[in-house]
Amino acid sequence: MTDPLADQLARLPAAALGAVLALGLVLVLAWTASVSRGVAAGRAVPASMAHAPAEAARLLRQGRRTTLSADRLLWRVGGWGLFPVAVLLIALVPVGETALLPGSLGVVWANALDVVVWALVWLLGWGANSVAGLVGGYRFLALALGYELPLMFALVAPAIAASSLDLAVVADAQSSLWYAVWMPVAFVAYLVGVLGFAVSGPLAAPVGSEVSDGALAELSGPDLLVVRAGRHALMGAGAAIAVPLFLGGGSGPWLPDAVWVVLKALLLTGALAWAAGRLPTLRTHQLMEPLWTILLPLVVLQDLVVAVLVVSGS
Amino acid sequence: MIALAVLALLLAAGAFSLRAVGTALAETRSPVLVLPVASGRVPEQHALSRYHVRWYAASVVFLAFDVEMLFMYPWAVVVADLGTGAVVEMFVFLAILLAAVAWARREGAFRWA
Amino acid sequence: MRGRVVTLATARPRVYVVEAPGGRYVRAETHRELDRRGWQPAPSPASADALLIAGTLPDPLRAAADVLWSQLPGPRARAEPTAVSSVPSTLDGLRACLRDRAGQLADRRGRELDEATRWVRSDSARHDETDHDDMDHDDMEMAPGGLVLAQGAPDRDGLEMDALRHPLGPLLDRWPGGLELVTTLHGDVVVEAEVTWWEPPHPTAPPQTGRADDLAGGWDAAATVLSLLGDERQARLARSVAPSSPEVGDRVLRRLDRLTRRGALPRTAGEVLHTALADSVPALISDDELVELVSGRDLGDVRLLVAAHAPLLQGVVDASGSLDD
Repeated sequence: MTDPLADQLARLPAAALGAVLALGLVLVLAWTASVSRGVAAGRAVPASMAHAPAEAARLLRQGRRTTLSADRLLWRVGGWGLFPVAVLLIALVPVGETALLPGSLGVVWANALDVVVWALVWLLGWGANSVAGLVGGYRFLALALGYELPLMFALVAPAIAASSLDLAVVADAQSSLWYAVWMPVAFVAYLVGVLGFAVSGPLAAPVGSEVSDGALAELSGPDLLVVRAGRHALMGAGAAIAVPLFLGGGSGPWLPDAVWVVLKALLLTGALAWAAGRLPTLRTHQLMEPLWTILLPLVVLQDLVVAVLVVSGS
Repeated sequence: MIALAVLALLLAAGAFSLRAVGTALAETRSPVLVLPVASGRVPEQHALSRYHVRWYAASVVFLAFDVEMLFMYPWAVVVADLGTGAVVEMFVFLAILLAAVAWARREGAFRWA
Repeated sequence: MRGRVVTLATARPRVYVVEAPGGRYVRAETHRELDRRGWQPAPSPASADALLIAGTLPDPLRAAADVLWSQLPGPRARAEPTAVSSVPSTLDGLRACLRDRAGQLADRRGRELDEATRWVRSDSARHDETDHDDMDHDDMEMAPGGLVLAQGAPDRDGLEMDALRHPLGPLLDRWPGGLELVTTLHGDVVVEAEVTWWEPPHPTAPPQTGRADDLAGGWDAAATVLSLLGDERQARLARSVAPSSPEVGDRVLRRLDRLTRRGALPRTAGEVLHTALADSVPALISDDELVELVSGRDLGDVRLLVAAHAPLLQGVVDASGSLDD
C-alpha cells in the first residue's frame, strides 16, 4: 500500500482496540491507586473499593461553581488536562508486541509529558483567582523545581545502560537483571518524581489540607472529579512507565509479556499509593534542600556509575 | 498517528459524557458564580497579583540543568560507543553545575519562611 | 436508577465543619461522630455537601455564615447544632435534606446564579457610606468585578511585590472558634497579622474540668494538627484517645514527635503539643504573642501553629472560662 491515508485507515481497527485498552488500563490503575490509598488511610478493603464509585456519584451530582473573575478557560484546561496526560503516558508503554504510540524517543516523550503537568497544576491553582489556589499552584512549581532534575537524571540512567531512548529497547536490554536492582538510586528518584507529578504523599503540599486543599480549593463537582481521577491516573501511569524502564518490561515466567507488564504496573501502583498514604506531607520549604542537595547529587552519581560500567563493559 | 487521533476522540467522548451525566444528575447546567474561599469574608482584593515566589534563585539554577539535559539525552545513546572521553566530559560539566547548587545552598536559595 | 445513584452519592456526605465562638465541645463531638459514621469532613466549602456550624453564632458573624453558605455548590444542607447531644440527629438531618429532591430543586431555583457580585456590591456599598473619598473614578476602573487589585509593598528581600490581605477565620474549618486573624501575605509568607476575637452570645460549660479538660483540649489540638497534615488515620486515633486507652495516646504522641523531628511539623507546634499531652499545661498565649508566633511564617505553617496552640489562646480560654466569673 502506497497511499498514506489508506495505510492509516488499514491500521484503524488495531488502533481503536489499542486505544480502548489503554484507556481501560488507565482507569484500572487509577482505581487501584484509590483503593490502596484508602487501605493506607485505615479504611477496610471493601470500603476502599467502594470509595471511588461513591465519590464519583457524589461529585457528578454536585453542581459546578466558578469564582469571581476566574480565568475559566485556563483553569478548566488545568483540571481536565491531567487525565489525558496520564493516558498519553500509558500509550508510550510497550505492552506485548508494541506500544500504542511506539517510537525511538519514548523516554524523552515521557519526560516531556511529565513537564506538561507543571503547567496544568499551576494553572489549576492560578485560574481560580483564590489565595488558597494561588499558594497551592506556586507550591507545586517550587516542588517541581526540586523533583524534576532527579527525575530527569533517573530517566537517563536506563537509557545510558541500554544505549537507547526507545522504551521497548530499554525493556529488552534487562533480560538478565532488572535496572531497579543495579540502579536503585535512579529507581527511587524516579518514584519520588512520580509522587511529585501525581501531587501525592510527601509531595502533596500543593493540595495541602492545611491551605484548604490548595490548588483544589475552589473545585467542585465534575471539575474536582477529573482532577482526583487525574492524580490517581498519573500515579498509575508513572508506575507503568517504570515497568519498561526499571522492572524488565514484559519479562517473566509462564505468563504472556502483556500480562506481566500490566501485573507489574498494578503492583507498583498499589505499593506507591500505599506508601503515599502512609508518609506524611512534608512542607515545601523543608523539601527543597534535601531534593536539591541530597537526591540530585546522588542521582548524578548513579548516572556516573552506570556510564562507567557501560563504557568499561563494552 | 491514527492511534493518537483515536485516543483524542475517545477522551473527548469521555469528557462529554461525563458532563452530560453530571448535568442530568445535578439537574442544572449553569455553574454558580461564587466568591473565592476566605473564611466567610468578602476578599479585599483580587488574589492574582505579583506573587512573591521565594524560590526564584532556585529556578535559575534549574534552568542551567534543564539546558544541560538537551545534551544528556543524545549523549546517553552514544556514550557506550564514544567511551571514556565522553564520560569525563559530561561529568566534568555536571560537576560544574553541582558546584552552582552548592553555592546556591550557601546563599540560602532553598530555604525561606 | 436515579434514586440508586443519589443514595450512593449521599451515603457519606462531606461536611464542612466550622467552630463558632465557644463551640469547641460541639465541634469536637461532631468530628468524633463523623469518625463513627466513616464520613470525611470537607477541606473547603467548594466541594462540601453540607455546612455545619458548631455552637451558637453571635449576630455579627451571621453575614459571614451566609457567605460560606453561598459558596457551597449544591445540593447543599446546613445546620447549627448547639449541644453535644444533638450532633447525631443533626447529621441525620443533613443527609435527609441532601436526599430531598424537591427541597434541593427549590433551593436551586431560589438561588441567584451570581452570588459573588451580590456580596461584593453590598460590601463596597458599606465602604461607600463610611469613606466617600476612596471610591473615586480611578478606583472603579482598577476594580474588575467589583474587587480592587492588590497593591505593592516593599518586601523583606528588597523587591516591591504585591501584598494580599487574607483573613483566616472567623469561620474556617479546623480553626479556633471566634478567632479572626487577618494576615498580610507576601507570596505565601505572612508578614503581618491582626487579631480579632468574636465572643460567644453566652458562655459554654465544659463537659469536664481541670486536668481532664486540659488533656481533652490537648488531644483535640493534636487531632486537628494531624488532620491538617493530611494524616486522617492518626487524627482519628487522636480523637479516640480516652483516659482508659493510654497506649493509643502513646502511639499518637510518638507519631507527633516523629513528624516534628522530620520537619513535617513546625518545631514550636510539636513542642507545645508534646508539653500539653505529656507533661503539664503550657503557658497561655496572648494576642501579641500569637501575632509574633505567626509573623514571617508560611501560610500553611500558620494554620498548624494556631491549631497546635488552640487550647492555649487567650480568646478561647475566655470563651469557656467566663462561666467562673
